[in-house]
Amino acid sequence: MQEEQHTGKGPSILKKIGNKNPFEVPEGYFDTLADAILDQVDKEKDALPAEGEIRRLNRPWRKPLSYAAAIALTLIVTFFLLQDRQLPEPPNTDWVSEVSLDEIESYVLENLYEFEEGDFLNEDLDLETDLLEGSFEEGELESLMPEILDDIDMETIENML
Amino acid sequence: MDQSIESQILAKVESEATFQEGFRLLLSHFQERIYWHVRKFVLYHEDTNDVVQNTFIKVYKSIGKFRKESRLYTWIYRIATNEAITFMKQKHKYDIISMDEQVENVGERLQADPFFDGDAAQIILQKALAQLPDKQRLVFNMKYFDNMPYKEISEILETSVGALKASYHHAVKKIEQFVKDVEV
Repeated sequence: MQEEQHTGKGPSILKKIGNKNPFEVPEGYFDTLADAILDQVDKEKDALPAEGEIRRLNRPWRKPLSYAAAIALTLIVTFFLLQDRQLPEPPNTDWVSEVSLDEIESYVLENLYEFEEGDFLNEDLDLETDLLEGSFEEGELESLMPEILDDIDMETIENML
Repeated sequence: MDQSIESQILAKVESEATFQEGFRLLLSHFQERIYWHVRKFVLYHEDTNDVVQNTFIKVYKSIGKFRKESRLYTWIYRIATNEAITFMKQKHKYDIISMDEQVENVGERLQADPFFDGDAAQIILQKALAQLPDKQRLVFNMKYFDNMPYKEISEILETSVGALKASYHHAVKKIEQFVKDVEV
């Protein structure tokens, strides 16, 4: 039933227009179409070299191409091997994760004379200095606020008050 | 009847000795239907001729790989549909004109086309169709002009019958609105 509603005799405006095919073809077109298609197929076949010809055409390229590829590969491998040797060994930092915060703190307190003032400064402190000195431009501070609030804890806020 | 011709065609193209004969039979059986299917989508004869030729060249080259998972008829329609969609995409690839201008162009070109025999109402219908997405237009053409059952359209476009019905319904609504707007 649904199928019936969707035939060409369906909706009102479309019913008025009708579903007659309004297109035409040049006279005798379908009589010659098959030949035209087969001609086109033949042309495409002629344009392609035969299988034997493809092999022959490919042959002169093969040897020089394979030599060039082998030389290029050797150069690339050598380059990377040399580059690997020139790279310095990365410092072993595994010990850092094994040392507890308490151990670092007690070491610093015991050897305080070995450190300079600047050694204790980090980015957060710089930020604090900038805040105090008002060196931020208008708007810049607003964009930094979420980051600042994330880093700040309750204790710091209480101390500030 | 159709299926017995399809069997004959497939039997002939399987053998090298009878391949050409089989392909000629295929062309004589399908060329007209495929032409009209493509023509209603691309609209102009010269463009249709190119798409139809490309379609059958593809069929010629790949019929040896046809696995008979669908009917030959469905398979050829599917190739033709893809060719037509690709052709239209290529044709309008660098278009920078608005949809309204495209619709107007269709009307003007059809009016001047010696191979278009439609009246003013049919030109309006073609203009209304020009504003639809490709798939909706295909569904509308296959249902409205060719009266093709949804099951067949579903096999060709590889879309469920439910989705096709919805697509046809939307197409009709848009066409009706377009015609009403033109009449006002």
